[in-house]
Amino acid sequence: MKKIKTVKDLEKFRDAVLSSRNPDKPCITICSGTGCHAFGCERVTQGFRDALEMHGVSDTIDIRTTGCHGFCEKGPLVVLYPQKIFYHGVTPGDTAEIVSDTLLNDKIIDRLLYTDPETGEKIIKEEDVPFYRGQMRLIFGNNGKIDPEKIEDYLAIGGYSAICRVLSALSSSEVIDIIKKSGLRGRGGGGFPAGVKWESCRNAPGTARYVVCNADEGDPGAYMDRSLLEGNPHCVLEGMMIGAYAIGSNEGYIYVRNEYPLAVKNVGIAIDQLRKLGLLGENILNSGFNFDIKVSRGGGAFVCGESTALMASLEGQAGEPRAKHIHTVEKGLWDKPTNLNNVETWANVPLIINRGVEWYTSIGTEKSKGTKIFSLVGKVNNTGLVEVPMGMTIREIVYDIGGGIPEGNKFKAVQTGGPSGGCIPESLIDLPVDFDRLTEVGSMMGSGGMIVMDEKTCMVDIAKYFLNFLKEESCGKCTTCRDGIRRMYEILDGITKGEGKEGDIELLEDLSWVVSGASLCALGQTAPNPVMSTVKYFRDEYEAHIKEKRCPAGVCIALISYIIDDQKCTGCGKCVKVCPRSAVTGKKKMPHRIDPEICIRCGACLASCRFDAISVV
Amino acid sequence: MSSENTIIINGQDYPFNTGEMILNVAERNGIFIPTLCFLKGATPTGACRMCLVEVEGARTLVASCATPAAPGMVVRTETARVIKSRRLNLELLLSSGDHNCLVRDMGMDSWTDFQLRAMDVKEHQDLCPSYGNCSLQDLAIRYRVKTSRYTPTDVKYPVENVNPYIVRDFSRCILCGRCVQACNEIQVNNAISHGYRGSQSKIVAKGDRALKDSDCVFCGECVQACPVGALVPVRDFSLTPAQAETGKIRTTCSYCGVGCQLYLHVRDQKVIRVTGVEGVEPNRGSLCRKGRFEFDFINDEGRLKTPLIKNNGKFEEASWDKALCMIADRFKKIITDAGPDSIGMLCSANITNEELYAAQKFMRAAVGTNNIDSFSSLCDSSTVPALTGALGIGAMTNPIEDIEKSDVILIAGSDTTDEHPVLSSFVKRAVAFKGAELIVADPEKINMTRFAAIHLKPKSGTDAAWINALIHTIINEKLYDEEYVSSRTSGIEELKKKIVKYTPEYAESVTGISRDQLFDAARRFAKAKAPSIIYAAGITRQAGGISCVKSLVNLAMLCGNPGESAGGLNPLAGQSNCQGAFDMGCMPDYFSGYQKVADESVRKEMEKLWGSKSLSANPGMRAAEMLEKAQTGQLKALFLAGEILNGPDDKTKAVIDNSNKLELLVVQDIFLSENASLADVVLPAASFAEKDGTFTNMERSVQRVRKSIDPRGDARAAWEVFCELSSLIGYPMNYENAEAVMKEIANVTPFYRGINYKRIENNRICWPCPDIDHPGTPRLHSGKFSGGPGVFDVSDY
Repeated sequence: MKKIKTVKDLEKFRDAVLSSRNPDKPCITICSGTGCHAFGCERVTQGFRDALEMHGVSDTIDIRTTGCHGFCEKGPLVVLYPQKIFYHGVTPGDTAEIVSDTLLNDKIIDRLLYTDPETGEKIIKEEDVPFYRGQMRLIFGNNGKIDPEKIEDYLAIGGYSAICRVLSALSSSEVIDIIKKSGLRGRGGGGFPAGVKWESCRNAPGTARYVVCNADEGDPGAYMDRSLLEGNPHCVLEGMMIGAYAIGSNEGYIYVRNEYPLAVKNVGIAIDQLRKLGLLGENILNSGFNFDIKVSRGGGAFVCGESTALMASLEGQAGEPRAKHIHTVEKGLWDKPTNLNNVETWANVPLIINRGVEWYTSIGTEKSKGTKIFSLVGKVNNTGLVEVPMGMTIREIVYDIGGGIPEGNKFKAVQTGGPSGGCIPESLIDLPVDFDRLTEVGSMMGSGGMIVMDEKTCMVDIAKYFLNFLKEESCGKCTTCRDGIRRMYEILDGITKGEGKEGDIELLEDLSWVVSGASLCALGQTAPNPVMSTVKYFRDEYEAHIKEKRCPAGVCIALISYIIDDQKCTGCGKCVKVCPRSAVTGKKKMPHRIDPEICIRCGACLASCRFDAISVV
Repeated sequence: MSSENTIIINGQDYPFNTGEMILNVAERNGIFIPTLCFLKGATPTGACRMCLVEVEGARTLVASCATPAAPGMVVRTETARVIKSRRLNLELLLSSGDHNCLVRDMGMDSWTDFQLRAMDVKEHQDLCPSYGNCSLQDLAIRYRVKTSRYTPTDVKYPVENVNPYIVRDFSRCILCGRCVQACNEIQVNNAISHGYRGSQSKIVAKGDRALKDSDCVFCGECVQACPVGALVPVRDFSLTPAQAETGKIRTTCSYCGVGCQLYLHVRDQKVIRVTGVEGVEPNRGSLCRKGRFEFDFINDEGRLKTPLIKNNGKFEEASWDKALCMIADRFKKIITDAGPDSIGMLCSANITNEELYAAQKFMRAAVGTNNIDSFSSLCDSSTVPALTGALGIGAMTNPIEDIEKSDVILIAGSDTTDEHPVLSSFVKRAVAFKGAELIVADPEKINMTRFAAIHLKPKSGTDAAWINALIHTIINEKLYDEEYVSSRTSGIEELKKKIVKYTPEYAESVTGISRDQLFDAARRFAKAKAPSIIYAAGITRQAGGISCVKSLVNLAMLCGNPGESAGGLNPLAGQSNCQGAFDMGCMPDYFSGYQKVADESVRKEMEKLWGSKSLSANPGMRAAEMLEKAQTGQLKALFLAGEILNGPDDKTKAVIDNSNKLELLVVQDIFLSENASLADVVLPAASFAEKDGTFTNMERSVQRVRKSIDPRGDARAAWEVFCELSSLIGYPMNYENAEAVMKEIANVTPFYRGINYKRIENNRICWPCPDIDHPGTPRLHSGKFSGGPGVFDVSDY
């Protein structure tokens, strides 16, 4: 590769890429994110290659393996350009048919189309699928357009034009000013205004300073940062370059968990390409700006997402937070001024530079600008990654994009913000989602986890689940977090086992108060959120567990029984076969009975019954 | 008061220094803020969350140990919110382990009952060994916390009681991390760290092994730092709280020349525990394994308790009167028959200044000879002449604390971590936390090399060659401080001429150190602003030790630091009172304070001060000479005085050979050592714990030794013995107590004139201290050398 030395060189390179490409040339894009990998997208891709070869059209039809498209529920996903025909659940067996019918004969294959569950209508185009229709995919949308291993693809969609503009036309303070005016807030959880952070870091005394990208996404069920880094590493790198220029840093780090091998691989390839092109290194684009980025792989501790713990880990020390009354923008990595933003925040930066403050600030709410990517999971029809403008209501996200609750169950709550977020009840379903509103109701934005819960979810059990996670992930340094979370977990565990006693809720409240108020870092300070929010909105469930020894959602094993309705039981014996403990007995064709002493409440009988004769009490 | 650098705590204004934490300001002003994890001298971690206070405008409570005070900051230390937080915190800690000091069973209204009940407990097996000496317990009492709201946590780990010094009981650990900081940031032994995570957290050594299988050196810094009963000395582990209760007396350690300040904890006339005195120089609370744990010799049943006289090859117990009369008679006879110069005395360098002074006065004024020397002269004798010759004073130029301020440290011939562990921590801290570079010159890969930027490995006995090679490079490359050299020294031209042959190439052939390493070391040393040179017996005790020391002096003067910076030239004394032995005139050629015996006016002055007959001008014999002449019979009588008299090489070997031809060998010691078993008369000595006096440590600071228990049996301090003997011989010597001896020392010794017990009650004074208002001189040669211009004196390898 020839070195790109000037902005002109870069534009020339881009033009060369664009002129070699025909926008009307058919292209099969296959989602190759981690989710679709699990569904076997590699074999699908191979299937397409074979089919193209067989038909002798390898030269006239392109194949592009891209990053995650977001609709992970339905993978493997295939989009056929230029018509943007959307097929889901594609198997290797389908590939030959797609090539011969759709690509070569313009015939749509009905069974691979998405069916709108409400109307029953088959939908052909990706943008018409309800899951995508309600989104605003400013950042994430590009994932479907590029092969993350090809810098040409990123350049073809206008990549690195923002850094060109910054280096050739803007001073560092002008860049900071733009970011400040854009209202961009940190997407990693805190929601701190990015521009203000950049400015403090720039103004902090010292010569060396660092920019760091936090890709230590540790929340269970959250994977937007991973998908961005896997699918579009260059936009994150471009954001970091702009930030480094604005702050006056020559050295950047990406701290990414080693459990993200594809992200590590793709970002590594991207950095190599930039170095080879001369876009990282000395005197980038002849501007006098020197910058390089190193990738550091983390060991997967949740607490290492905390800024000071992350920096300790980067330095090679144990990933434990420290007291940060001196902010990391002044004394961070190796005690030098350090600016840390997460993947999604960095990815927003080129967008803001390219499209301008006015446009960017038109999206979102008064204090939360732009879009936010959520990982929508749990009891919802369309699970996956969704990018929506700030301020969209929970109802819109869950019903319009998420397609509502499966099996016609009732929506109960949504948990946002990862393990230390809170549960928001149905009464607040019309809450516009932005940083401040989530905090107001006792939850938080976090990095954007969104877990939907239905009536069959026990809120005490949910709180226990998160506290168990936090108990394991607390670094153990400070007393309140280490011992406080453990005690909260033990109390919750007791309640779900029917050992709850009078005073437990008050003790949980006391503990929540001290853990959130006295802990050293944000992990501890937010850890009681799952407990506090569920006690606040679902106190009656706690009381039912403690006083009546009853789990209203029918989840807590120690508090439930499975019974057979003799009116409905036909004595078919199916439940007898599935019961792993032989707890079900009865004569053939006669109503059966479950022995509560033997029953382990696994629910296998319930699932097997065709006559709705088994219920949980 | 202006709000500039003023902080408001509980409604009162307090000034603060920039960078000071809220906790420091509060402590300085006597405002109590509870802490569990805060350890002086280490980075605040904010782990225990006990010191949280309310700061106006802050979202949460803040850790006062880690929050810098800011102008106009409004702090409240005991609001309802703060107290609630502390109580919930304590409740968590108390329930987190086996904190069974009965606190948790106690009702709020029956506190006094509880205390009375606890005091009744005699043999309570489960009672924590730190009962009554536990920060957690104190705070539980202060904040009235009980723990019945939680199920007690199961004890996860068994007690680790498999080494002779420290018991680790994890069931009582509150994970405050003070031990880890004590080990890593204070002593820098890096033996323990935090292990596991979350509720599994544990303090671990070498991947969670027992201490004995780890890098632990058993200095016990962690034990002193532990605020609860998780780390306790093995001795204390089996004691009931009542038995563990002690009085404590501050004194000076008798092991090495650092002179650590420690407390002897005494019960029933027995020393049962030793702890470091915190917040004072030179050791700031740190001790080493020996100092902290190895004090059993004091209480040993095998101690000498009465004088013994050898009769037909067998010792028989005797009274002091009988033994002393016998010695006096024999001395008198030898003086008459063979002259006073046929009697000699050797003192060990771990007895007090008062004893050493009395010893030389006895020999000079009563016996009439200068045959007085100390064991120090067998090992450290090169330092005094070499340093005196060049700089005017033969002692360490800087206080120990200056080592930590140095930017380049050169250690030669000193296994510092082993021989002077507490001092070595100053070096290690400088390297680990202050960015200093360490150059170690030692034939062996000693522990200190782990911290070194360069390890020079000279062949044994070739030290002068590599030192001269460093000088060669520094002169050749004009790296030395010309202004300093021209204004403060003489003989540089001579040095330049003589050093020509010591090219790094030549040195390489002699020492085996590569020339590149020599260049590197020279340049690094020369660029330092405050280079410190540390050397010890490895240099001084080799043949040609004086040459080596002279070369080190030259190196120090070239790079301009003696007297000017925190660096300096620092010989490390081996025994606790080596410096004192020299200072007190336990040398054949000097009276106390390096006043020359050969100088007639000095002798006349001494005769006047002592009221004695005319003092001998004959130069006395050095230790080695006395021992040699004992073999030939030219020396008739020898008196060995000390505490654990050992040879300089082997700790058990006698200095004197049993084939000696002495007519009389007298040994005063605390044990019937090998020396003593050869003696004709053995006198029982009081150990350092049983007598008053002073030690002068390597940094010239005079520190108190205090009597904490009665001497074993009839043991006596040596000065008392010399007084009686002297009187018996005919020169009456009487002092009321050790303090009176010090008064006389101050009177006859110009360097010590301003020193008395009252002044050194709590703080050390470094000599020279010429008058009662003088603060002492921790750093020598400031501005100019004490003995005129510094002299470059080249000694060939």
